[in-house]
Parts: sequence; structure tokens; C-alpha cells
Amino acid sequence: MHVDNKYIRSVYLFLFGLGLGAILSCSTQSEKKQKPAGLAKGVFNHLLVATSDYHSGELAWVNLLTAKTERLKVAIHSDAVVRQFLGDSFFYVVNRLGADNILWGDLVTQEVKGQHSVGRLSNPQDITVVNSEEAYVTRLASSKILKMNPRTGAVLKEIDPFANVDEKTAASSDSDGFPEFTWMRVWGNQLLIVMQRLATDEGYIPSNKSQIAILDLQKDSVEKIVTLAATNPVTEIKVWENNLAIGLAGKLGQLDGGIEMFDSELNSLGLITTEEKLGGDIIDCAILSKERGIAIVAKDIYSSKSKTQLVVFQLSDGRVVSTLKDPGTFSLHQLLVDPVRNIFYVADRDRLKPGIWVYSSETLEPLFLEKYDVGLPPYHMILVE
Amino acid sequence: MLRNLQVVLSTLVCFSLFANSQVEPQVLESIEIRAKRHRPRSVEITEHLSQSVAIDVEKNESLKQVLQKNSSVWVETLSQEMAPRISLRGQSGSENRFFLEGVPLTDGQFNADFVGALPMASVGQVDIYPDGSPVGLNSDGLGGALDFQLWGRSRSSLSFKTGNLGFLEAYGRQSLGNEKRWLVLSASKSDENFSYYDDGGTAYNLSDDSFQQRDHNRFVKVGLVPNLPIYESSQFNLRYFGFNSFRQLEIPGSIAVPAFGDLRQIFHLSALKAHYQITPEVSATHLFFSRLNWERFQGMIQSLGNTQPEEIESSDQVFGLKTQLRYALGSPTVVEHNFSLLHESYDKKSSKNRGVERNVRWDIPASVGLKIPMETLAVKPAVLAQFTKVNGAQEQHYFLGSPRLGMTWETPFSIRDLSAESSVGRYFRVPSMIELFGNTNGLSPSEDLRPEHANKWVSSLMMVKGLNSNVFSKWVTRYSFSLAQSEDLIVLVENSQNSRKATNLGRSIIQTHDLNLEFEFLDKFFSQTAGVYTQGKNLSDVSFYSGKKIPNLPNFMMRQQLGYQNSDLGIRYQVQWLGDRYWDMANTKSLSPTSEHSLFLNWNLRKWGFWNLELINIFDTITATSVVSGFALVDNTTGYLGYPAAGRRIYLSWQYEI
Repeated sequence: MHVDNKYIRSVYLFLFGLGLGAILSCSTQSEKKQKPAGLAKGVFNHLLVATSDYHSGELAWVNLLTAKTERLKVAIHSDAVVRQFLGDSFFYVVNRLGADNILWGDLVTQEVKGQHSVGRLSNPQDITVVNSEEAYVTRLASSKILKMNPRTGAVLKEIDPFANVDEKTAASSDSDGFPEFTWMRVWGNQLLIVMQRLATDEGYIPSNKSQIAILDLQKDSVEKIVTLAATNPVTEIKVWENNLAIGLAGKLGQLDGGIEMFDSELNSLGLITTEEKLGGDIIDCAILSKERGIAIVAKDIYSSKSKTQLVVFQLSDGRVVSTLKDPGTFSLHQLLVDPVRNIFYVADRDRLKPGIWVYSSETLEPLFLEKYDVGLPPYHMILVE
Repeated sequence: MLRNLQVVLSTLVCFSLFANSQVEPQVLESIEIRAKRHRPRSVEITEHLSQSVAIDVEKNESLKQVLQKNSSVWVETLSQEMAPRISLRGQSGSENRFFLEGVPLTDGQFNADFVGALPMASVGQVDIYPDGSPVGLNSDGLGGALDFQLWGRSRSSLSFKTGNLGFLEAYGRQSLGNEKRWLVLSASKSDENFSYYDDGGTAYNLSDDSFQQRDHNRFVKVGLVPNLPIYESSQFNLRYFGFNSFRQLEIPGSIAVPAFGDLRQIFHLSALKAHYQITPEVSATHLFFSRLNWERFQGMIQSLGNTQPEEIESSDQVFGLKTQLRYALGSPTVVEHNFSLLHESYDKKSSKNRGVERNVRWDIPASVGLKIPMETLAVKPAVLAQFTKVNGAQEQHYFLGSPRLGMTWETPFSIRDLSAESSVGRYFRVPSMIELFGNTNGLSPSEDLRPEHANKWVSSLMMVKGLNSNVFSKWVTRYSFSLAQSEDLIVLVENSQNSRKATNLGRSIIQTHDLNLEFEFLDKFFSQTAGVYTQGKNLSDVSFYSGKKIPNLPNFMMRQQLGYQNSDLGIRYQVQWLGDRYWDMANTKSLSPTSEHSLFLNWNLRKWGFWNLELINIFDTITATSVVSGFALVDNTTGYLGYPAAGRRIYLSWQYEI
């Protein structure tokens, strides 16, 4: 039977086209998986990120609905954290040691509205804006909590955390005279203020205790101080349902810390896990469910082979059940939980290609094989509307 | 410490013996005031384009003034108060190598140079290698090289120099029996405390800006340089030279952090140089030297997450042997062999850590260079190989090679004033010990560090023409093109707010066009236009640096000089433009272009001595506009990134020949 060459050629072409189409469609599908794509609408639809290579600093903006990233035209310090408060369209940047000021601007127009010094070399750590005229600022190199007008920079008050507490609570082996105020969190009518109580003049080693000062926002004074189960709180105060958790690193290089949990009344539930169980110094942590939590831990922190790992631990006994990420370098830096979408973000300061990973809190699998590229390495990220 | 003192004392004793001995030189030459340009004294067979500038006694010029006459040299700072910053044809100053008559002045510990300790009154000529350190100098390095040459002959003279910011310098040059044997003693001081514009860290809020006083910035220095021919004949010369320096300087640290300190430094260099002309075609040069740098620093030391007071005492001691054999391999090919052996030991003791920490390093570079003349063309192949062994926290070995090829070409007949030179090669730099093993002052160890490499190609075209016009008498044009592709560049990367780590991150490509145009007109007037246009790109694997411009590398540098010089009076006006540049690798901070106007005046008042007036940076570009993330700011750090410095400088000097 004679078969026309044209016929055979067209069959080949058809099959070739079919194959090519299949390959292309597969690659498109895998590409979708590789690059970050838009997420479903939630309460918070953007990530605001302070980025830094410790030499230059920038603000980056991730639109979670479109997965587009943008570098804002705002000059920030190379050591800075960022804040935004619900019902407010402004962002606040805490420019830490060397810049020592609070910068605020409009999120929509990206316009800087003001910048106010909080004292040369005072090393501000965090800001909590309670309304347009009142904000609290913690400073590492100060013995007082600063209350200021966030818009004008006017100092309203300086609060001594130990004014209303007994001597035993106030006393510490911390030799520099500063309680080392760091992170803050509003909890009902109270403002929780972390006091690391380090000996900054002796290489930032922790003293015999670290504490949380509880400031009554109505009385505008510290009413109670809670001493933590271990020393050197390094993480922000994390919230899970009605509980709070904080990561305590202890002495760096020694596995003497852990993660302490509190109930809604701020009663300590003790250490839910320890650095010994986690296998490294705590860098950051988060609680994902009743069963499990995650933590970034640092291994061999003082050696040239130091690295960070992202581990999952059981809340029941604190034991590590799996290692989610082990980049082999000291790069994992911060965890941020998005409870509405049931996902969490991991800031990865990788030396060559830094960015933000997105993980499912449920499956503990990364949603995308690539990170959000925010330019410089991400240093501090927050969720904003 | 005792051993170091012994070395210093024994050298001083030796020196005094030499100074008192009366060895008559057997060859007397005419007094050479000006050295020939473009003919370096130290290395004649070189695969690299080389130029040379000499100091004219009668103009009483500073070394910075003299160096700036060379179009390839861009001096940012060359004073005794702070570390010199000299860029050769747009290359990074930290990649350059410095020598004193072939003795390396750059250490293997910090990759830092000791030029700041050298009493400049003893320097009579500088050989400049803008394209690379030639194999004759037998050293690694990616950038260019400057070889300082002491005065060959010197009359006794006395000089005083004064200036703003409390600058005061006095030196005496005493010839000891004859003009080839001399001694320079110099003393200088300055008080660099000055007021500067401080934005208080709140660049967006101008209301709290103010002028601040920059304190902790004083400086005192005493220097002694002996140059003592021991034996001279038509065949054999033996000479001792060296320099000794004591410095005490306050270090104010960066403006943001209250880190300051007090540094005391004793520097000693002794060298014996022997030249043996075995036959008219064969010669050998041997150099034996010992170099000691002792420092005590008391101040604020940065450590992991902290700044604390500490006292650090350190000594860096080098013993080196360099030998060079040169011979004709059948006429007219000339061959040169170089071999060096350097042993460096670095001891450090801190008040926090009582034990002495010692690092030892051996460098054995060897090289061979040929000059093969072929009528109008000369081909100059060369190769340098180096073995380095370092002992610190762990032992490291490096064995590296650098092949090069240089060519010169002179046109025959009617256009014989035209010449062309070209060189191509692969260069390397071995990591310094501090880059490998870190320090307690905020530098983490990086034991896997690889050496830096660069492939470079340079071509130059030069024309020197005497003109018979009534107006123009001489015309010199020089154009150079260079292309440098570097890889594994060692960059100190911040790995926390207070600490850094040396990392092989850098890959870059830099293309440079260098044009120099000189005229002599109306007999005594002259004009020099020098311009460097640079295109540099960071090709690093780091996503946020890749494709960015290289920091602190202006895209253009331009200098125009216009002057008049007769036998007694000279006046020169200079304007220098530096193009915009970035401060940081991420290219978020840029500095606007700056211009600097200067005026120099020299006046020979015969029996009243030689006078020189320098008005540098007349309009004081201490502040300039900079742009950070698209926002224009007033910045006070022009030219001295992260370090405010006084802009305008005025110096008046007087020199009297006895």
C-alpha cells in the first residue's frame, strides 16, 4: 500500500506538536509551582519588610494577592525594624543603633512624614503606637521607657519600670544599669515589654534573670514584672489563640534556653521545649497548633561552620519531629505566622539569593519552590492590610 | 617586646657607626635634580607600562603635588595623619602594592601598607606602575604599584611647613661627608579636631541638624631616614638604607558609635642593597631587609554584638631576602630572574586575652622576565610564581602563577615620536592572614577563602612632539585602554550588625579609558588635561549586588592643570572633578559629583630659600548632596566615606639649602 509522504509527515508533525504541547504544559505547571503566585484574600494582604545587608537598608513591599514585590523609596538604617498598626495607614521604622530614631511615613504614597531622634546612641528597639498622639518606644541603652508623640516626636514621659515593684524583683546581676528593653506587644489594656537584662559591657552576656514588664496603659505605669523561666529573650512575643510564647536564647553557644508559654492571664506555663531538645540556640519561634510549634535554631554559633535550621517540635514533650529546612548556612532569620491563610513565612538571609519562603502550616510543605525576592536580605517582616 | 627593642637598638648602633665612618665614594656623578620621566630607576625590564615622577628640590613641592602630575595617579589622601588613599587609573586603592626601593611596604597580615609611616622628605622619586606590579618587584597583587625611591644625592637642607588644623612639620636633611650619604630627621604634628555638619542620624528631619566638633583626632610623628653607601666601585655597590618612625595618633572612629582610641606605633625598616656588575652583560642585585611594626592600641574594640574598651599590643616582623639576576642571552635579549623569601610573624596580646597569639607566614615568590628587542618592537614575556604558607588557627598553603606578556613598539621614520605599549596577564593576590583567621575586632574567620584573580589587558598609545610653532613648544598625548576582569574578589561582608567576614563574593569587570594631554606654550606656560572614564560592573553571584555598579568608583575623574613656571616662580591652578559614585554594594546610596579647586605657588628666593604655598580644596567640598533610596540628603562625608574630614587645607612651606 502506498502511503503518501505528505500524510506521514503530517502525522509526525501532529505527534511532534502533541508532545511539544505536553512538555510545555508540564513545564508551565511546574513553573506555576516554582514561582510565588497570588494568595487568597485575607485580613492582611501585604508583607512589609525591612531589608538589610547590614550596610544598606531598604523597605520592601510584597502584595500577597499578586505576589508582586516592590522596593519602597524610603531610606532606612541598615539595622531597623518596621511596624504598622491596624486602622492606621502609616508605617513606623525603628532605626536602631547608629541612627537612633523613629521614621514614619504613608504606606500608600510612600512619602516619609517625619523622623525623630530618640537620643543619640540610645539604640531604640521597638515602637507601639496606641493612638495618633501616643506611642511607647523601647531603647536598649536606656533605663526608661519612652512615651512620645509619634507624629511630632515630642517626649511625653519617661517611665521607670521599677518604680512600683519590690527591690528583689528590680535587682539583677546586670552590671550596666540598663534593663535592655526590646520587643513590645499590646495585650488587652496592657503593654508587655521585654527586658533582656544583659551585661552589655561584658559582651552582652545574660544576667541572672530576664523579665517582662507589664505596663497598664490606663495608669501609664508598670504594675507588674514577670521573671522568665530562662534568660535572654530574643524573639518577639508570639501569640497563639489566647496564649503567648517567647523564645529564650540564654547564653549564646550554650543550650540553656527554651520557649516559654503563658496563658491569657500571663501565668507562666513553663518551658514547652528547651534548646537542648531543639539542638541549638533559639533565633525565632512560633506556635502553629495545639500539637506543634516551629523554631529557627542556630548550631555552632561561634564556629566558621555555624548554620541555622528550621525545626518542627511537639508541644506535648518539646521534642523535634522534623527538620523543615537546613540550608547549611547561617541564613534563616525570622518566622511570621499568617493564621487566616494557615501559612507561615520564613525570612531567609541567604548570602547569594535571599528572600521569603511561604510554608503551609498544615502540611508543613513550601507553597512555592522559589522565594519572594525583596532585594536585600529580609531582616524584619510584618503583615499589613 | 625585648627582642623588638634589641632589633631597634642594634640598628641604631649600626646606623651611628655608618654615620660616623667616612667612606669616600669612588664614583662621583653630577647632581641629578630631576629624574628622567618615564624611566623608572628600580626596574628596567618590565612587562608593564611604567612611568616615573621626580621631586624638584627648587619647587619644594609635596609628594601629593608631584604625584598628581601623573595622569594615571589619583590621590585622595596622602598625608601623615591618615592612611593614604591612592587610586591608579581608577583601580581600587586597596589593591595597590607599595615599595621602598623594592622593599615591600604592604604586609601579609592585614593587606595594609605602611606608606603613612614613611617620612616623605626622604623620597626623591616615585616609580609608578599603574597597570600592575611588575615581576621585577616580585610580589602578588591585582592593582598597580608605587615604588618610592630615596634621594640619590642630597644637599643639606632645612625645612618648615605649617598649615591649618594645627599642622606643623620640620625636617632636616643632613649630608654626611658627601651628597650620597645623608640622613633625614623629621617631626610633624597636627590637630585634626574640626567642626562638621551632623544630621543627628535623622536625615529627613533637618531641624535637629547641627555643627559638631570632631574630637579625638590629634597626631604626632617623628621620623628618621638614613641612606648610607657602604662601598662603591664601578662593579660593586653596597648601601644601607631604612626608615624609622614613631607615631602617636588619636583615632576618632566612626561618627555613629563612640569608638575612639589612642594608637602608638613604632616602625623600623633596615635594608642592605648590593649591586654587582659581574660583566657588562651580567648583573646581580641583592636586597636583605628587616621590617618591624609595633603598635599599642587603647580604645573601644568592636566584638560580636558589643563595643568595649580594650588594649591591644601587636608586633609584625618581617625578614626578607630578594635577589635579582640580569644577563644578556645572546644580544640583544635580556633575561631577569627574581627570587624572594619572606618570613612574617605577627604577635598579638590583648588586655582581655593575656596569652600571646602568633601567626606566621612564609612567602616565596620567584619570577623570570625577558626583553626581546626586534627592531622597532620589543616583546617582554614574564611569569611570576608564588608559594605561600600561613600558620594561624590552621595551616594553609597556596601555589599560584601569573603569566604576563608585555610589548612596546616605536614607529620608524617620520612619525618616530609615536610609541605604543601593551600588556596582558593573569594576576593573583593571596588572602591576608586577617582575612583568613579573623580577629577579635569584629572579623569572623574564613578559612575556606580562595585567592583573588584578575585577567588584565592594557594598551597605550603615546606621542611626544616638539613643535616649532611660536606659541606651542611641546605636545604630549597619551591614551590608555584597560580591561580588567576580576574573580573571587575578597569582600568584607557584614554578617551581623557588629561583625564582618571575608568572602569570595566579588566578580567584576572594569573598563578604563585614560587620556592625558599636555602642552607647553608661550615658553613658560603649561597645561595638562587628564581624564579617566571608567565603566565598572559587579558580576557577583549575589542576587542583590549583581549588575550593580562598583562602590566608590566614580564613572569619571577629570583634572585640569594650568600653570606658569620659570626658574624662580611657579604658579599652578588645578581643578579636579569626580563623577557620581555609589557608597554601597547594593547601590542604594549615591554621592553627587564633586569638584575640588586648588592653587599651588612655588617661589625660589635664592638666599632666602624655596617657598611653597598650597591651597587645597579652596571651596571646601566637605558637604555634598547624596541620594539615599531616591531621597536627596546633605552628606558630610565627601571623599571619606563614613568618616567626616576637614575639606580645605592650606600649607606654607619653606626650605633652605645649606
